[in-house]
Amino acid sequence: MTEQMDKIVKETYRYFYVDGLVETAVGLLFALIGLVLAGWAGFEEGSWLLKTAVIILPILIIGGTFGIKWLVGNLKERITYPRTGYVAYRPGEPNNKRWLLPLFAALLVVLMFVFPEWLNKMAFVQGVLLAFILGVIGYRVALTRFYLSAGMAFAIGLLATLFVANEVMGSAITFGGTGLLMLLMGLAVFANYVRQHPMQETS
Amino acid sequence: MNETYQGLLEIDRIIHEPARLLLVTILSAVEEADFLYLLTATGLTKGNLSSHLTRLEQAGYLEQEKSFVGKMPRTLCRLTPAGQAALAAYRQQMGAVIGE
Repeated sequence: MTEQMDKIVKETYRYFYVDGLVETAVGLLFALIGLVLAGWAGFEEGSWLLKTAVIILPILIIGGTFGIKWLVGNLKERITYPRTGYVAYRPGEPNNKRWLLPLFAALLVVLMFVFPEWLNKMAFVQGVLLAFILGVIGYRVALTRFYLSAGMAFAIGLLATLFVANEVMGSAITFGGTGLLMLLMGLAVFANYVRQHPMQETS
Repeated sequence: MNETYQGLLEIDRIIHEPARLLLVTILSAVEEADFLYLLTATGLTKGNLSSHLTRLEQAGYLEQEKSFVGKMPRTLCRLTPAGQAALAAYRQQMGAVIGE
């Protein structure tokens, strides 16, 4: 019985991802980061384009992180809540990631011993990091599509490390590829959600 | 009387009712949720959901707050500390009875 109650709690957390908006927004941010990194790798040394890419990247990462919260909140208010209802989670839920950092550090230490030469590869480490975060979210809310994204992030990071000599381009492919995948998956989930749930009159 | 049997007899009947148990479990996971979400998540009818929420409110396990978002009415529901405690006690009692 308590197991069943835990399932209900998990399902309540899963509601945060039901509309695909979070994946769409995060995927878009990752894809943009990948695009800027690709520019970084491709632009000529000392050119104004390279300088712009170097300046834009931290702004994109910091601004994007805050922007996503604002954007997703606003979209949910207009699209999700009038259709399937409003839920306010406790601070930190359902994305309580405070314990993620030590766990990821432990994972890196293990990797360091098993594959010492791989930890010099930026794209591989980024692929592992993205896969780990997506995998944890998938486990926490029991959503298979997050496991798929995690597997793809790991595979893209690994392939970029193996086949792309330029480290920055490897990172661009890892972020861009994972982001594009999340964006497409998020949009598909969103389209399906909107089709299945018409606007309601009461809340 | 056997302690386990005694525990079973002392089970909170307000929470023990399946629909209310579902509602309390959902609300225990969140800060607050509106009527529409509870309706969607539980699959209850509006009337049925409303009566269960009222029952929980009367027991002091739930607070309801009515407001408007634009022109749309919104009824927010949240579990009170008494409701959280009652659910925790219920889980403990049922765990002891079932042996989980």
